[in-house]
Amino acid sequence: MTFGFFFDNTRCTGCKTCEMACKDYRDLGAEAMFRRVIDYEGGTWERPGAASAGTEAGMAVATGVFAYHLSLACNHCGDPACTRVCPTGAMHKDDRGLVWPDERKCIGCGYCTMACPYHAPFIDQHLKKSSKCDGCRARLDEGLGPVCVEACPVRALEWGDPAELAARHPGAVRSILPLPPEDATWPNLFILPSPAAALAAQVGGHIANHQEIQV
Amino acid sequence: MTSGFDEFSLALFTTLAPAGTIAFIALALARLLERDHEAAVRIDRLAALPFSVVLVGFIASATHLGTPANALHVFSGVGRSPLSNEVLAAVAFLFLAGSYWMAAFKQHFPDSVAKPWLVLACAAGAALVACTSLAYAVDTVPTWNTWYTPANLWFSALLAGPVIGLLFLHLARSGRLRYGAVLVAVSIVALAAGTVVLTLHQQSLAGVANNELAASALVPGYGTAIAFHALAGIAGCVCAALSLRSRRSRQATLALCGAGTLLLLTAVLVTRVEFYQLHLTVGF
Repeated sequence: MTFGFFFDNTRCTGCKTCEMACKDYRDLGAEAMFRRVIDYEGGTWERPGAASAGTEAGMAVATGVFAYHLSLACNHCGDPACTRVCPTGAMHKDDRGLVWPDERKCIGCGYCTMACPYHAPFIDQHLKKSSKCDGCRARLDEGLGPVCVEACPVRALEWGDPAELAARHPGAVRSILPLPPEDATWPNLFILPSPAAALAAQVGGHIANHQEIQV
Repeated sequence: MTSGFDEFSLALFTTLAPAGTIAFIALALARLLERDHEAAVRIDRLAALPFSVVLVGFIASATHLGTPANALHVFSGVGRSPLSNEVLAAVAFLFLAGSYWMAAFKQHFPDSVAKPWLVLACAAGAALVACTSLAYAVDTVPTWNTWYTPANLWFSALLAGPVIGLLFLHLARSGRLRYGAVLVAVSIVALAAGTVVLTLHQQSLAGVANNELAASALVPGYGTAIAFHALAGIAGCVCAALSLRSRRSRQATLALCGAGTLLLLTAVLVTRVEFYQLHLTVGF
């Protein structure tokens, strides 16, 4: 069995309810997050040209500006970089396809944090061990879904079997900017890209909230 | 949030452990070639010094661990995780080198036992340097996952290690000038080759970026560090070479070679700090 997330990039408003619900449920402080919402921006606009000033067309501002949001947690990858490098086997993929660190084995070396291109694991300064999204496995045991999925007010998140998610959302892709190419770790993340993400793929952009997402 | 990757302790580890290992091998070769039993015993006694250099490096690396109490689980990843391979090689080397030093205190310690023991310890030492050099071969980190990484680590080890070995041989009053000259020559060649590789590495960074960052922006001081590495390296090698003159007093010999050792270790450490600043994953 495997586990994955679906994210509807066309719906997300960047409200960060998913992030806050996760923080609340997992009792995370300001210094830690299992899910983060990336604000991605780019494009430019042009002032009306002096030569055409006064005409109606000349007064219009040509704009290619875009902004979108990307809600990102651990993608419980098909080929996780974190489990590959973990020296103790603490970071592992369980029978349900969830990737999480076994705190009885973790030495807090930070090798997983170095290898993950999604910056999912981090060293918890209280536990002195690696910590990350575990797909809300305790809630799954109770027949509930991950808290981030259930909290999303616009139903931009889903969870489930990756094959079913892909079949349910035929237009989904596994990478939009600024994520790495899908073949880096084969993330179980399926994204319905917005027109803004399609534009970003052509012209590039940048993360606008680096400090907030602590990356 | 913190990555837990304490850069300085790892820079210290990758400076001291490979250099100490090469210094041990330098001492071991001198011991294997030594025909005078008294001189061989003096070298045996000082085998603890390069062992200690490696051990200090190993302890430095352990300080970045959040929960060292679980450390024995590290061996479960041997063959899969580069870090596990590195730790296994380090433990094997420290065991073989440390036990050799202690066993050499026996009144009757025949060469038929000592020499194979030393050869085994040297093989474990070479494995330690090799595993340390490959510990950063992680394909999601394009700035580290290149041939420059193992090459830089080997040349760093071969730059500082032989001169540290020479210092310990001076301490052991093992006055083979020709062997000392070979050690200094190895350091000089490693300095030249290492500086070339560092420069090539710096130039290669122009073509490395993820979706957010250019690799070269992570290490604005890399060029200065490479220049410092070259200058401190030259000064260190000159000090070591001057310590080879037979007419010098013992204090002057030790002071010169000790200064050379410090200069070369500093030269290596500066480039290791730059290496850890170069961490960059694919993506963002």
